[in-house]
Amino acid sequence: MHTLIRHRALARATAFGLLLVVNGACGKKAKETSETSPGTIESAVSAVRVVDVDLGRAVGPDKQITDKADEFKPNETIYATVHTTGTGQNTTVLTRWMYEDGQLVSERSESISPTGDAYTEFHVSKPSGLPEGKYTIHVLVNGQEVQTKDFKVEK
Amino acid sequence: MPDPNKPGDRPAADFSDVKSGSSSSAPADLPKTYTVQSGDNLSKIAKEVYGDAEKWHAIFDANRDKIKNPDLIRPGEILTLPPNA
Repeated sequence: MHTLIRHRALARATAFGLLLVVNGACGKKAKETSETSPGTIESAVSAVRVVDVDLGRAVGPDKQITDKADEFKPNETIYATVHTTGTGQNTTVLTRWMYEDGQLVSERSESISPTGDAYTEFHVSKPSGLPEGKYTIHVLVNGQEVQTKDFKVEK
Repeated sequence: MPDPNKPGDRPAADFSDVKSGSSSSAPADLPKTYTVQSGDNLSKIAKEVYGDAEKWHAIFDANRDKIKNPDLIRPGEILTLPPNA
């Protein structure tokens, strides 16, 4: 009998303790929510990560490469699509296109504010024909190089 | 005698007329939010955010799930501010 009473008392004490913990957590949550200042404009800032970089001859409306390639003719337009994931405000994705002799072919950037998977395409062409040879595309996110991709131009 | 097949002897490649472009599936700017304070109305917020009170329609359209009556917004309500309104 005494054992039963002791068990009930213990159960009550445990339940009370749990209630205190839950209450404390709720109080903390409510405080965090109420910290949003009225009349202020908020925006989300976090990281954007490059998943991969694809090259090809065409892109679809979703900016994904539809005709992947790493060898091109001099008169073709070369597309590079940077697949990113994550959320970020005003993230700069930059591609730097270099020729084999170290010359800068083109440099272009896009400012994006993705909220998940996103595809950013860059393209390069030369009406008089791109010189034959090896090229490298350097992909930078917010000024940091994250990936490179090589391709060839041949007749 | 320069050898055109030897990379060092080739004339420098010309990239002067290279054309380039870019576009993204991601928006250039994320929607921002605004916490309504006492005395606010949609025109006032539009004037403050976009510099044009007439753009209250854009805020109303972006928040139709929260605002049933555009003349009635409550302090503490968090509104989405569409980019490029």
